[in-house]
Amino acid sequence: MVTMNNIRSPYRLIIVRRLIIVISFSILTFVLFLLDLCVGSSGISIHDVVEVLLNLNKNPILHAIIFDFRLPWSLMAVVVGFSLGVAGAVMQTILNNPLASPYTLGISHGAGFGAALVYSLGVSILGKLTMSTYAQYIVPINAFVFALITCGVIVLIGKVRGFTYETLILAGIAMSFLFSALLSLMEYFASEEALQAIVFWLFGSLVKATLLNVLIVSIVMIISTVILMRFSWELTTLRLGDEKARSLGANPERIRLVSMIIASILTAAAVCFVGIIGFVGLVAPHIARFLTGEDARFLVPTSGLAGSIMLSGAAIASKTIMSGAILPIGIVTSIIGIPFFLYLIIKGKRGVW
Amino acid sequence: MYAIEVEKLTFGYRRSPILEDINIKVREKEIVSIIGPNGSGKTTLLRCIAGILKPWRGRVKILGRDLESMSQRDLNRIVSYLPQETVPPPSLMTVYEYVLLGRLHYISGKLTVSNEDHKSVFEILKLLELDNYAKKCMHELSGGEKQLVYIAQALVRKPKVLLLDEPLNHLDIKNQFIVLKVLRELVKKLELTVVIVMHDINQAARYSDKIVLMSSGKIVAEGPPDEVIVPELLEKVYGIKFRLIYDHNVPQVIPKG
Repeated sequence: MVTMNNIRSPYRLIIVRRLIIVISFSILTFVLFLLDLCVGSSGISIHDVVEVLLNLNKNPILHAIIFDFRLPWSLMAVVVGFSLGVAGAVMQTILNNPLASPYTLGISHGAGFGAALVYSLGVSILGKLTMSTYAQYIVPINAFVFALITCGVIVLIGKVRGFTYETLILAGIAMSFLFSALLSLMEYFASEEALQAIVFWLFGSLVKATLLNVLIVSIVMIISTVILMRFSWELTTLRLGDEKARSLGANPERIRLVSMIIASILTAAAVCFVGIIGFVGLVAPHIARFLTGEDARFLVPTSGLAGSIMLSGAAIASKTIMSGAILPIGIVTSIIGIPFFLYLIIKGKRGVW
Repeated sequence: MYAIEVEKLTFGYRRSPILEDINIKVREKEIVSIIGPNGSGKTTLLRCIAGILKPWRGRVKILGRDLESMSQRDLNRIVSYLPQETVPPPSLMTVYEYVLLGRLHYISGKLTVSNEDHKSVFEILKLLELDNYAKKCMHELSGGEKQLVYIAQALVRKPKVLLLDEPLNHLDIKNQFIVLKVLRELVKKLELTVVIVMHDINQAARYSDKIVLMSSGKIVAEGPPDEVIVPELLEKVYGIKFRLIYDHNVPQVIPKG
């Protein structure tokens, strides 16, 4: 006799397995975050780091190193990684494409152009500003706004043509080509100093992070993730195809529009402070889908955590590969990530995509 | 009361109408097949009845209620529309998860799935004898099994009307037989009304209470199989000659070479 539990228990097992993955990823993120805090060129011992954090050690130099540099950097790695991971998972789901990432839609290219505009011409959406006390915010604000302009153009195209994934991908590719061309143009006209600044920005780096920046990215990250989780079932449904999603009562175009805007804001907030960190948004969702399947309730947070783990790991590596120097994290992430990604492609479960 | 009433329905995607002045009445617990050549508007009609397309003129009533007056939520609880398979299902999703998504309106916005939802999944899997498939992944299923899972997903929210668009496509003759037999049983067990768009005239004749024959956006004939499966009518619509034979009083046609 088949009982309800006979049928339901395999599903329970799947859910428990997915929960375990989410929990262990959270723990791993925390461990890497602590490790990241303890690694650095100044050779502070773990013991000292813990003491400073618990306010037991009042040494002002140690205090400054930890609170002004290491803590914001390490936190930034976690929140930016999470944001990009979530944005990537959402993009791959709504565009139904394993190649999609926060960069597919040209969002990061828009941000890059926005930043370059400030560095090379001194032009920002706040007007032509001389470097003042707000200087450190002009670049992020400009990058953020241009990232959203990119998103806005794609939404307009979608309004005319319909929010199908073909339209969005094509519009996004058009935007990324447009903005990389404009970016090159900026680089072409930039002074040597400005060019250096642009290139450094495009590398992606955590070293400009402050606690305030971290707070801003965190707020955007939390709000976006909560909203996305609220329609995680609809996101899962999109994977069955638009026609089927519609027949189940979902509105694929609307889901695609809303989640695209949220994922763009997430991406924009993350990249505007740290520059372009590729790859995390592409790989994290693959790891998550591989481990947790299609259920967006688990896929979205797992992808976020995978992003945090990747970026924290890369942050540690960026400080330890060359002693005394911090390599730009964007570069490190890609170099370390590629072999791992190739492993996933070769060894991964067939048919996930 | 009629399960479905379509009155003077006209619809088109662009300027020229694809469906013109369609009138259909379907009684409760009937199986109705819509047949007709490619491009005759069968799928469009089904999508209008499902409330996915809004008619230009005329109206659709489900169990006496005008679609216009129903919220998306109400509509979805009464009517289930199973589109043609265009995108293969995500291969690693289990049958259980797949069927559960049929209750989107009940689980939407929640992080946990209620007991009632689980109960519905259990009941429908058992009814369709899919209980042993619950933990299988979608890519492990044969074409026929997949179609049954799709039907389970469509029925898990306990609708009163089931609309199927070419559910027999790509199925071998045995699986076609199984799907149609299951639908027949479901009509009795769940007091369901079923409308099927299909191409196989003979299957339609064998399994339907009523057949709607369409051509170029209009209804050519409508009625019980022996009134519609008539060589003259079919020749007019399909443009080829047919020979009529009877198998246990069921009209069947064979194209004449």
